[in-house]
Formats: sequence, structure tokens, C-alpha cells
Amino acid sequence: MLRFGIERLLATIPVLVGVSIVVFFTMKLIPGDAAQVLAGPQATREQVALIRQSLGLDRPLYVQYATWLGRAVRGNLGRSIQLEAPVTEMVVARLRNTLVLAIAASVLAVAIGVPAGILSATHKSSIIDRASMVVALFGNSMPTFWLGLVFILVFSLHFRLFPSNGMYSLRGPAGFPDLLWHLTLPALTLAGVPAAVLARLTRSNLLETLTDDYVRTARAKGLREPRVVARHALGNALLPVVTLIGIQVGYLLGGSILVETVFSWPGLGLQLYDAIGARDLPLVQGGVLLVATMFVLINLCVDIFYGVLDPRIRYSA
Amino acid sequence: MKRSISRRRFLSTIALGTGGAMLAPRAARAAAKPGGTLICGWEAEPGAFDNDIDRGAVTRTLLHNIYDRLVDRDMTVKANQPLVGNLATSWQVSPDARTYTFKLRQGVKFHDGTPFDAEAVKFNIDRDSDPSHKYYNQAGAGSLKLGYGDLDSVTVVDKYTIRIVHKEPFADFLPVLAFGTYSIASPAAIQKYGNDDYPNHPVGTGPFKYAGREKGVKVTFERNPDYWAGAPAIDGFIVHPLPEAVTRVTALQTGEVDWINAVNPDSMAAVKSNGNLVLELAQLPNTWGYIPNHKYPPTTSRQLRQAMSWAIDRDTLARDVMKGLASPARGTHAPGTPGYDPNITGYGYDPAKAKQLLAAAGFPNGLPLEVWIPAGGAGSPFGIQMNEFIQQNFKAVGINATFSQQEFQTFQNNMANGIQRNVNALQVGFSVDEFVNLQRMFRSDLQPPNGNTNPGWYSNASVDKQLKKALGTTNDAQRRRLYFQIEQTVVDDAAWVFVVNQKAARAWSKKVKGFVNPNSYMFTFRTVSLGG
Repeated sequence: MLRFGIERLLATIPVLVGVSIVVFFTMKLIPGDAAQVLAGPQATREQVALIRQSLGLDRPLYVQYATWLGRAVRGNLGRSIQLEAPVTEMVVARLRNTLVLAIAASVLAVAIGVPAGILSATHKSSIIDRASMVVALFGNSMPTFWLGLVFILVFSLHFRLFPSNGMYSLRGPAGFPDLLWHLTLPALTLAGVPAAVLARLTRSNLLETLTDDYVRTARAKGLREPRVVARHALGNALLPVVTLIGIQVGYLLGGSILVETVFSWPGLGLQLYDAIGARDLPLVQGGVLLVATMFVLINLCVDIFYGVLDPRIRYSA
Repeated sequence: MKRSISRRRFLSTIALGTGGAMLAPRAARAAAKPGGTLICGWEAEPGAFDNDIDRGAVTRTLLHNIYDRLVDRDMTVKANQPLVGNLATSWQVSPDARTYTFKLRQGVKFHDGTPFDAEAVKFNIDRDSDPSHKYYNQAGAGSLKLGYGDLDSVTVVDKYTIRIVHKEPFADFLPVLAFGTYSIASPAAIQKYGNDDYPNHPVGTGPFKYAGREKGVKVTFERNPDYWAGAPAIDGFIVHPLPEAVTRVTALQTGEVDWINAVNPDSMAAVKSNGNLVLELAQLPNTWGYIPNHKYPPTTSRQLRQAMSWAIDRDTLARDVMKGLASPARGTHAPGTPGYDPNITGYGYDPAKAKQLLAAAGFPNGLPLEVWIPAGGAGSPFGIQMNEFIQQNFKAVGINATFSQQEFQTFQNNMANGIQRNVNALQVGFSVDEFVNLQRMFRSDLQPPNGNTNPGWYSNASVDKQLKKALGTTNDAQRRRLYFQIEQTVVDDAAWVFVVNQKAARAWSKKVKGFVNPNSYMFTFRTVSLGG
């Protein structure tokens, strides 16, 4: 098992190097650079050139990349142009808020998606099955930002049940209940797509498993249906679902940009949105690198966890 | 938050139940009571608060709340804001418009307790103009090149007198000094934090002190109890970034915030019909239009440019497409802003005349034009619809314009390098708040690569001569007349195709009293108080 873990860990290194290359050079493809943003519209070409020189932007690209990567590995992602602060500090602080949202949304997605899938499978072709699959199709197809806006208009503006934005109240004390209250709408919005995907996958896997021979045997032994499903079928049916949950958590990290913007949730997504608007390239670069790295690491965790769940996987690897 | 909303609703229910008469005197007392924190919904996260770098209007307007400048446009006045003394109480300008001697306000302290004096002013100016200064700020110097780019000397005459000498006549220096980035910062704070970290610890002399920031959540400002023009009535204000327009309006409607900027056009009716809210438009000093290519044909033809100008139905555009958030532009300056002249004769909507001019220009059967527009529509929420509408207007007279959307930086490069042969015009939204902008837009010696504000290569010897004369004319009334003549000349010349002057919609809760919504990108919360 340890060997499997180490192998998987080593395999992520080239992936991370690839990620860093893509992130760095994509930013370089965008016309214009930090020097121009810093210098302002009034500056002469010489002034821009001087700033470019002081930022090291006049050196060959591979030198810039090596310098950038060397610093990034040591935790230095440069300095935000617009906010004049170290990027690493900023993105790490904001990642925490994104994780709060992503984890809440994951919990909601699992709590809604998996039971809905089980119910659908065990009540195949019933009204429950049809209704939950229609809702799942809806949840899967609705653009996230649209769903967020609808939630805001209905639950914030019309019913005044939940706040429309932010992570805690700007007036009055902020505590855990306040956080939960602010978290509800963005987490529900973000959970929409993964809940729908989980529901559909759980349903189809469970339906397939329920026709397996060992399940028939269990039934033949006279076990009651709930026990057949819970004790025998579910374990095997949920194995691919675990992988999907892992992938969905990665999606939630990246996909939260729209939800965070709509709800002004102070996470990495909103920060990226602001940074793109302000053409704050070091901040965009740092944020994208962090999201991509998180995605790779989450997939690594899923791989290892999967190995724990199913021994066949670690042997074939 | 949930509790506070329900408490408010509960109280308002009681108020209705027990009758307004009993509560009215109490409400009146509450309105007069100073204190409270104003919560503002901002359209983007503000940048760092350097006193000398322009990080866009969402940040710059906050500089006006933290800092003072030597002179200022009085943002507590709705229209045509006068130029007033701020940290300078009086000034003398030499007849050659090169030497400015300012008498400074005495007894003013920075928020860190250090005194404001002539040495502080010199420190600020040197920092952004003298490369040998210990705290020379390269980016600041770039940003303030217009005002400090040609300084001959800056002399402290005595503790409260400073003399600034320009190499060339610069009669427009005072309005330039009123711009937000000419704010005076505490030298002690700059020395303490250094250029890199100072923007995170801004210290000025303004009505509000910077009190900290939680990125993505809020920036907090506290009242300056010692403000020389009188302390603000509110305890402070919070800037809360709400980039999504619908969320911003919702937050105002639910009372989560008290004040918002940039109300989206689709929500204006809902805000207007809400009895607890006020919605007010402000004319912005913004000119939206097209910069024709004056270097390469066919737009070198004056008649063609005039035809383009006559072809646009500005009234319908402002009223219907832009939902009233604009005025039809006649010239460079917007109505209700300091540089506006009602006597300028601009262009109306006359397609027949446009066709006539087109034929006279040698295009009786029309012609194709390549127009570049910036991605996102140059700072207007209607950018794309406006260009589409104008495309139809052009088509109706025979001008087949292709509008190519360009990524922001590609577009900026075209501004900096000048319009190339393959492009006939650039669509821009310019902030034209002072006459000095006419210098930047139309002087032939500021064509690229000497600047990026005359990318259309406009060159007119008589305009150049008049612009130069204006810079040497210290008499305000005379200079104003000169600039109006220049404006009329460039309008007649169709140097630009002027289309509209945009407006901003700002809204606030009725409990916010005393806010003046100026015709400007800038505003101050100094006059605000919070009622019941």
C-alpha cells in the first residue's frame, strides 16, 4: 500500500511541472504585462521599459519561468499589482474560504445526490424515480450563475430568508451560526450540478448491481429488500461514486468562481474574477496555479483512497 | 444579520401598529443624531491606496475620502464643481504661467499625527518627479507625468509656502492638481513603511482615516475627528465589494448595504418604485465616441467624418438603447460638468445630410469601414448594443462598418502605437473632466509614440497654436474662451465622432441623508449622516 502511495505521489510531480508550464506561458500569451499596468496610461515608453527591467520582464522567457518556478516552489508567488501584497498570502487566505464553500457544497451534494439516487434505483420507474431524475436533469442543465441569481431573488429578496451576499454580517457580530446562514444559498447553488451528477450515477450503478447474481442469492436467502440494498448492493455500487465525489470536489474548487462572484463569497474564485478585471497578472497566475495544484492533489487523494477501498487497483498499478 | 432584519421588520410592524405620531419625534431625533456606519456596495474590490497611482475610479474616489490635495473640485456640489482651495488656502500664478506659489493651510495634521507643511508637499512632489529622491516612486512618476513631468524646481519658501516652477507655461496646472492622484500623503508614513508597503497603510489629511481591509470582504474607514473642514457626522463607512449587479441591488433592497454605485439599468425601475430607496443619476465627465484614423484614408476626409457624425441618432441611442443613462454628446465635455459650453454647435441626426457629405467626399455609393472596439464595450454596460445601433445608423447612409472586438491589451497597444493602416477608427470612452484633456487628445506633438491619448494622429496647426496659447493664458475667463474656440474647431473638424456622454446611476437608502451625488466619477461621504 505504501509503495502504491509513493508511486502515485511521484507520478504527480511531472503533472505539477506541466501545470506550472501551462499556467506560466498562458499568462505570457496575453498581450501586455505588469509593467504597463503599473506605469499607467501617462507613462512614456522609457518609463515602462525601466519598470519592466526592474521586474525582470525583459529577460528571456525561460529565465523568467525558471525564476518564477524557483520562487513558487519556495512559496513565493510574487506580488499583486493591484493590491500591493504578497500573492501567496492572499491566495492562501482566500483558499480557506473557498474550501469552506466547496466542502459545504460537497456535503450537500452527497447528502442530496446519493439518497436521491438510491431512492430512484429502489423505486425504479415510480413517481419518485421520475421526479428525482427530472430534478437531477434540471440541476445538471441550469447554468450555476443563473441558479444563484434565482436563489437570491427568491430567498433573499422575496422571502428575506437568507442574505444575498458575503460570508458574514457586516453589521453585528459574526459567529458560526451567522456563517452557516450566509453559506446556505451559495452552497446550495454550488451543490446543484454535483448533486445531480451523483444522483444519476448512484442510480445507474445501483440498478446494475441489483441485477447481479450475488444480490439475487441474498434475496433467495430470504433477506428483506432494504437489507439487501444496504448491506450487499450499496457497497459495490458506491465505489465509482467515490471517484466521482473526488472529481466533483476538484470541480467545486474551480467552478466556484461564478458562485463566489454572484454571492460575493470572499474566496479564491472571487479573487480571480477581480484580479482578471484589474489585469493583476501575478495574482491570476498564483490563483490558477493554486487551483490546478489542489485539483491534482485531490485526484491523488482519490486514487490512494480508491486503492484502500479496492485492493485490485493497487495490485494492477 | 437574520436577526437584525427581523428585528427591523418587527419594529416597523410595531411602528405601524402603534401609530406614526408617537414615534415621529423619536425618528426626527434619530435623524439628527450623529454616528453610525455607512455600508456601501462597491462594483469591484478597490485596489491599494497609493496617493499617486490611478487604480481606476472605484479606487480613486476613495482617495478623495482619505486624502486632500492642494486644490480640489468641490464634490459637495452637484454640478459644475468649482475649483477650491483644499490644503492650499491661496495661490499666485506668475504671468508666464510657469511659477505657482501656494499658501498652505496651517494647523492641519496627517492621520498619524504628524504636521502638514510645505516640507510635506515638497516630499510628495519630489517623490513623484525626482529620480534621486530616496523614496522616488517610478510608477507614481509615470502616473503624474502630466502635472509633474516638466518641473524646474520645487522650493519651500517658508513653513507654509511652497513654490513650484515649471519649465514651460502650464496654465492648466491647478485643475490637474485637483485630480485624485495628486493627493498629499504623510511623509512619515511613507518613510515608515517604504514605497512597497505604504499603499497598505495610507495616511492622509482627509475626512476619513483608513482603518483596515479584509480582502474580498470590506475596507473600513473611520471619521477623522480633527478634519480641518469639520468632522464627518458618521462614525465611518465600509466598502463592501459586490461585483454582481443583481446582488448589489438586492443587497440594497434588503438593507444589507445602505448605498450602491452603478445600479444596473434593468434594476432601475425596481429601485425607483421602492419607497425606502433613492435613485439618482449623475452625469459623468465621459465622452463616448470614435477616434477616426487621421493618418490613413479614407477617414482623412473631413466630409466623411462629418457624414459619420450626422448619421448617428444620438437621442434614440441615449433614451432607448441606454435607457436614459447618457446625454447626446455635442462636443468634448458633458453637460453639467465644469468644462461644458452650451454654445458649442455639434451634430444632430440628419441622414440626408450624411449621404450628401458622403457623396461630396467621393463615396456616392457608400464605403466599408473597419472599426475596432474594445472587448467589454469601453466601460459601458451597453457597449455592444450601442455599437450595433450605430452600425445600423451607418448602414442607413451607406457606410458599411465592420466592428471588430479586440482583447483589451491589443486595443491598448493600438492606442499606444497609434491607429494602423488597416483600421479606420477606434471606439473609446474617455474621461474628459478638465480642459487639459483637449491638450492630450488633440495636440499633434502628443501623437504616438509621445503619448497614447491622440492615437488617431490628429494634427491641426491652428489647433496646436491655440492649445499652446491656452497653456500660457493665466486669466481663467480668457483661457476658458480659448478652450471653447478649440472645442468648436475640433467639433467642426469632426476630429472625433462624439456620440454620448454617459451617466452613472447611484442609489441609497432613505436613511442616508446629505449625500451629494456629483456629476463626477468621484464623490465624498463627508456630508453624509444616517437617520432612523
